[in-house]
Amino acid sequence: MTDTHNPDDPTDAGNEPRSDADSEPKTDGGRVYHEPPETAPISDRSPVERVRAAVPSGPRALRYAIAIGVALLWLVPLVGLFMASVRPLDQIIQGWWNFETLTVTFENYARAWTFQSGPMRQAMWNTAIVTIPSVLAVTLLGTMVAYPFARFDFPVKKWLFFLLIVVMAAPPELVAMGNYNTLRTTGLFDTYMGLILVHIGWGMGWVVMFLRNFLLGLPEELEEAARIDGASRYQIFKSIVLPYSAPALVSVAVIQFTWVWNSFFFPLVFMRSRENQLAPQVLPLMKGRLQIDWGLVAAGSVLTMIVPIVLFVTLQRYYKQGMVAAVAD
Amino acid sequence: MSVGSYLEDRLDRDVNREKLTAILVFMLPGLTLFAVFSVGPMLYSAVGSLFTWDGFTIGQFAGFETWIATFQDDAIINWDNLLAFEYPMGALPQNIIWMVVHVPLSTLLGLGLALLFADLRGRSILRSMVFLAFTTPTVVIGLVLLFVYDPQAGIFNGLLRSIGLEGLVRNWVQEPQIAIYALIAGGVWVQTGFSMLLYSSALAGIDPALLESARVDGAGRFRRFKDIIWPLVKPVTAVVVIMSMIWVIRIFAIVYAAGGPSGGPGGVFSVLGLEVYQAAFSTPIEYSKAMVVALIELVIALPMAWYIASMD
Repeated sequence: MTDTHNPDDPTDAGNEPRSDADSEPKTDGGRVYHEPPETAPISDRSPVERVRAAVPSGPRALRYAIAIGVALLWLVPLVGLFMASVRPLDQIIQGWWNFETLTVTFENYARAWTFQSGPMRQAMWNTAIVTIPSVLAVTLLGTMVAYPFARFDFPVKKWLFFLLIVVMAAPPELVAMGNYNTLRTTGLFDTYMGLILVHIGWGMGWVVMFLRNFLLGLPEELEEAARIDGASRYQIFKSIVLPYSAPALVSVAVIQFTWVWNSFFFPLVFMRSRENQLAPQVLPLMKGRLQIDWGLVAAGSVLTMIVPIVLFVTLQRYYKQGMVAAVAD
Repeated sequence: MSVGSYLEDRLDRDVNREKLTAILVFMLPGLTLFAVFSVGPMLYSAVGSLFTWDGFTIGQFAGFETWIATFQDDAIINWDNLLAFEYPMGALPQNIIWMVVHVPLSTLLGLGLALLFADLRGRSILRSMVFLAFTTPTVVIGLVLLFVYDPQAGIFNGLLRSIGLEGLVRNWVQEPQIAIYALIAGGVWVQTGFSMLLYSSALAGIDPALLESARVDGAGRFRRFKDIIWPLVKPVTAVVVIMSMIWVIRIFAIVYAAGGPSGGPGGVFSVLGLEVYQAAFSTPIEYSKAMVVALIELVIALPMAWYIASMD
């Protein structure tokens, strides 16, 4: 921050949206702004000079170098995983960073897709079948619980608040034994439905807490206006609360999706048969007994992680906002 | 009682009844699932930890017998090895060591990276690069660590070879006294992204004009950090530290993927979650022990979660 501030340096502007203050109002607190000139001023600097000004120099350049270096360093293990997934085993053993002989093959993916003790073809499908309904359900049911929780007073509210916090703090292992017996007695053990229900019940804790905090910040006036117009509480929920909480709902859904898709412990306990296994569950099986088949493990891992990563990259605004809001409240 | 006030009273009661119905309609479906699959099983564990178990069926009331036995169990606390500071020390001390090493490192690194990226161009991409590992399945993280530390194919050993430390090349996750730190390094790698994200959003709330005027007034980098940045990011630090501690106390898939259900050779990096899994779902089935260990995890995490919830 001690470097010289160059007015043309785009870094100072950052990527914050440009305020339209320079085009719209001509007065600001009594000061009068001049009309902007009709034509853009002709730059008195040559293109070379402009490039030189845009490229940071001195300590700032050093900071860029360190920052980019660190960020790349953070990716190295994942890049290695990707490299291993597209190369034959004998080349992986030589080190995936060796490029003297480079053979790109998709054979690892083909083997992972049809892996004997749990084909990824089946496992990924299973993961999707479990993840999508449980995310949609927990988002809808969670909003429905959070709305009265944020708006109305009712007798057991304090207790509910306390229980939500306890569940948020509890490790998933704490509910495994009880749920195991519940699912066994109801015949839902080792079924999609059983795991979906466990995920809904378990996710409810943070989803309700998160949406309650969001709804507390939503102004009540809109709902009151609708009420005066004669809308019922259900109509208000459907046509005002749900649409206005859309961004928060997307955040919840994205984070919950990543959580359920990635979760390992619940499927490990509640899904036992080979054809019901979820993708994260299959990966440790790919290690094999003696020499670890890195190509297979890597291909399986890439297939499993590609879904949450694509989701994160496309919806990262919601993901990050949700992450920050979930813990900051 | 006048007719008017009577009617008003009636109306009030109707409104209240209508409101109560609405509350029930909204909350019942969600809260039923919450009760059946979260709260119920937790109470079940709390009560069950005081009984003996025959497989999956509850037996006699046993008081705190299992609790006492658990604290004398070598898999949970190995007192002799703990006093000698030699692994395996048992899952509870190892889990705590994990917290003590992991949490400060990932918090400080997160703050450092947040400050480093704060006003750079393309910071959003840089942040996503660091954060990416946090979005990948934890079981993949465990396998990646196994891959990184592999004696032949691992880049960590490759790095040692290239700087001439051939003698140090080994399978780091199989070394009883070092393995846990090798895994903690992996945990830090993942969680730094999380704390960086939280710190970044806190830093974005700092008015640049404030920093600028401090700079003009001649405050150095350190002074500006201590007097302006730190007071503003301090509440975030509490959140980051506590969330990281809860993350670590619950750690499971990373360790399972790297060392199997036993937690490495002789359980040298076993954690509480693995012990629950082993006790409850592998023979011999010890349901009460599993419940006690899971409750220990809750007892550690609950005050922290409570602190966060009551912060504002």
